[in-house]
Amino acid sequence: MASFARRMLWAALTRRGSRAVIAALAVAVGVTTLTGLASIWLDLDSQLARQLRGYGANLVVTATSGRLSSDDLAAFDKALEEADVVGRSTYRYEVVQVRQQGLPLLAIDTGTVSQVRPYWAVAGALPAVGEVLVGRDLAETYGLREGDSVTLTNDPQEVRGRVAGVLSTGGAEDGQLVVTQDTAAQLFGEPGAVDLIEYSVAAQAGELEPLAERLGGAVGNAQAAVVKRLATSEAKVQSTLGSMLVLVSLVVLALTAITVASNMLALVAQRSTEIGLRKALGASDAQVRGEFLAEAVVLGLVGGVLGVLAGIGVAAGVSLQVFGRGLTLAWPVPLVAIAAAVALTAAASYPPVLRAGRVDPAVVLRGE
Amino acid sequence: MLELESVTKAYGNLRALKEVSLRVAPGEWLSVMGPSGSGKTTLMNLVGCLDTPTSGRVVLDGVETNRASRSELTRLRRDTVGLVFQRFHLVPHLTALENIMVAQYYHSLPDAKQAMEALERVGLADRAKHLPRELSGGEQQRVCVARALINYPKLVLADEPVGNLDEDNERRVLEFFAGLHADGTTLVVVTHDPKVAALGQRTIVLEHGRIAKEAA
Repeated sequence: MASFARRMLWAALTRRGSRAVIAALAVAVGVTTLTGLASIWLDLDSQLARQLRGYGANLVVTATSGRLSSDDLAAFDKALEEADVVGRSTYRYEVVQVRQQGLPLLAIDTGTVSQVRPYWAVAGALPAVGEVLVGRDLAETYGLREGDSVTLTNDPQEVRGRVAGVLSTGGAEDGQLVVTQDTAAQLFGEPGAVDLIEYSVAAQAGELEPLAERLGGAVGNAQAAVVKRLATSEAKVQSTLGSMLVLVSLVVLALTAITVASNMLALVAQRSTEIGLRKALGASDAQVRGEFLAEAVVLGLVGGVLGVLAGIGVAAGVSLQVFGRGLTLAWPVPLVAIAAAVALTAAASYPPVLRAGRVDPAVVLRGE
Repeated sequence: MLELESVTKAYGNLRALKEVSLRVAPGEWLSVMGPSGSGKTTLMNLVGCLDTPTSGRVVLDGVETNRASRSELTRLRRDTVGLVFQRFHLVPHLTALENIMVAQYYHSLPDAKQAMEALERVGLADRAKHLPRELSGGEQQRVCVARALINYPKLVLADEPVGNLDEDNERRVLEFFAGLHADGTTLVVVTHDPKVAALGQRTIVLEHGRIAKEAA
């Protein structure tokens, strides 16, 4: 009995051709979009968190007294062991004499500074040991250019350095001289000592505050803070994009339901004589409804599986193109999408299925 | 087997059948004739439990169909009536064998062996796996006949069963009906053809929704 029902269902789906294919494709297109959007949306926070790291550090650590040492640095790194740290760099501030004037000196770690300050525009190169990178405003004031010589003095220490380039940031660095931390140690001693540590952490909204607390507690004389402006902007961007994706998903869901419903209505209209015939042969209203609902469920299942496969492919492609990284697939998405496809198809098919149940068996003999 | 008493069927203002009364005894072969629009199809619908009368009584196999529920009408169609259509009405995506098994499926249990035997009886065993579009009109009508008889109905209703057939297939189908009649099956056959009507024991002629003539 059940095997013949399956045989009839299989025949209806495979031998009738275009209508069934169109219905399954309509579901597949909808599910492709939904799976794609859902996969991108669920991966969006982590993808954006990494992308937005291009705007600079979002966690800063300073000393409450004295300076931070390399041991302190190791303690901070340990405190952030489990976080997704994209970059970390250290800074030391001094005042140095140039042409008998005190000028602010920023000592950097040239190997890591671009991880947290990728927006620095350097005309020339970052300084090597014994070289100086001059802030744009200072370069204009003192007429310094790449290749010039400049003498940095911290009596009695002196370093005669070559100007490696001119730095433009639009910030405080435009009025500073930038050297390596080794150069700073030559002038001021205390090798390894730093005043500021900047971290760029790929984290979602609300995850940064606990990290800051952990950093602040890692070393006795340290305090850590979240760069609020960046963190808030990131959260807003994530929330806006998320809302847009949800909205688009709902529109796609509605369009898919309308397409499936209209297709099933056409299917019922096209097969009204066949439905009448089945009733004339003794099929009950419930049997006819059950048969059409079973067809809808199978179409939903087939469309759902095809859509999920295509959707994952699309999402992976978009992820690679837009974010330059592969997709981290949330595994419940395919299962939920297939279940949603079946439920949506069944729900959208319900009015046409009810109509099929109401077809008058006398339709068979009309027009004879 | 079948009794109609003052049966009227109206579609809006149009009265397709007017006060028709008729009795068909078990095992009888009744022929129904009449021009187009005379009410033959309406009569078939009422007798085949595909429709109910606007007024009057229709009693089929002891059940008053004008008072029957939808599920009772479904049961009567399933258990008591076998329908043969002029346009065959086979399910287009099912094979000849499956079209017969559909009637078994709605009646009780599909039995491929029994369905195949029915196809053999109408001379179509070799066409069992063919779809209706791969069969000639005569072959399709023979499948339709095999389907109508598969559940051993008490009443076979045939609407112009040979209207679309060539001479050879017409002969085959009518021989089959004669065999059924000989076995005691009640037959109601609607036809335009006086030769076909003459095979019945009694003929009624419908005109403008009424029985205009009746001849034994």
